[in-house]
Amino acid sequence: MEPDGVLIERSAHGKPDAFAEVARRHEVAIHAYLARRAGRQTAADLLGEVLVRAFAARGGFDAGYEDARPWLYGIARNVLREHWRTSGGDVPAVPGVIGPDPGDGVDWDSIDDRLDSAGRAKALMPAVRALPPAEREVLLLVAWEQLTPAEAARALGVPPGTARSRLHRARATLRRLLSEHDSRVSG
Amino acid sequence: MSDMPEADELLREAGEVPPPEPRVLDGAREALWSVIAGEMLGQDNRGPARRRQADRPQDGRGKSVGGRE
Repeated sequence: MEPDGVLIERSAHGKPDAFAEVARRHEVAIHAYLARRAGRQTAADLLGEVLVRAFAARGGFDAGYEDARPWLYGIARNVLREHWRTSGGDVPAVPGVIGPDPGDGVDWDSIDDRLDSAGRAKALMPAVRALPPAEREVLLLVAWEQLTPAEAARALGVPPGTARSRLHRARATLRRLLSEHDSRVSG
Repeated sequence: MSDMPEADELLREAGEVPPPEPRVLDGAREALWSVIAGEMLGQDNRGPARRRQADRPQDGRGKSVGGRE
């Protein structure tokens, strides 16, 4: 299988249709990224826009990277931000914690509905919600999109060391809050 | 999140979403192919123009810069 970088470079140099294979490889992952943060309906609405934007921006892709996902998530993030900025009241709130957060407006209500109300996951999510947005964004790119910290850094356009330290802080906070939760339950 | 595997598992569970319906993927692919096709058509249209330019006699005319010969 040819790396994404090769296909994208080819698509930028006379073979635009080579990009369709890159889109086919990652369309479900991009949809999941969007759906986790904005719900399935918005994901359905925005998926095509992300692919079109990526095609238009492919000349700027560094063909040295084999996997285009971090770059595509970065574009999806921009499309989501723009969507929230222009859709007025459609900005998902992060209830009771930090208020409207267009930079990382995860659909928490939908997530809560899916979780077992008696499970530890239910206790974890308020802690995730309470994280600073920049830390939460790295954490979720790693946990949900299965990116490495370096790949998350590429998606966010920050230095790898910044992403690693944000991830470290997020994990430390979650570890502490989960431990506190366990103490309360067992005590 | 190898140093906290349970939290990692819990987060993954929280992030599970069903795959998109086929019509969603079809719509997105259609949008993409429309811009790809537009670019391919543009290439086809520029091709004959480039060929016509290449067929011109190479006598040096039109190659001056700023009117200097």
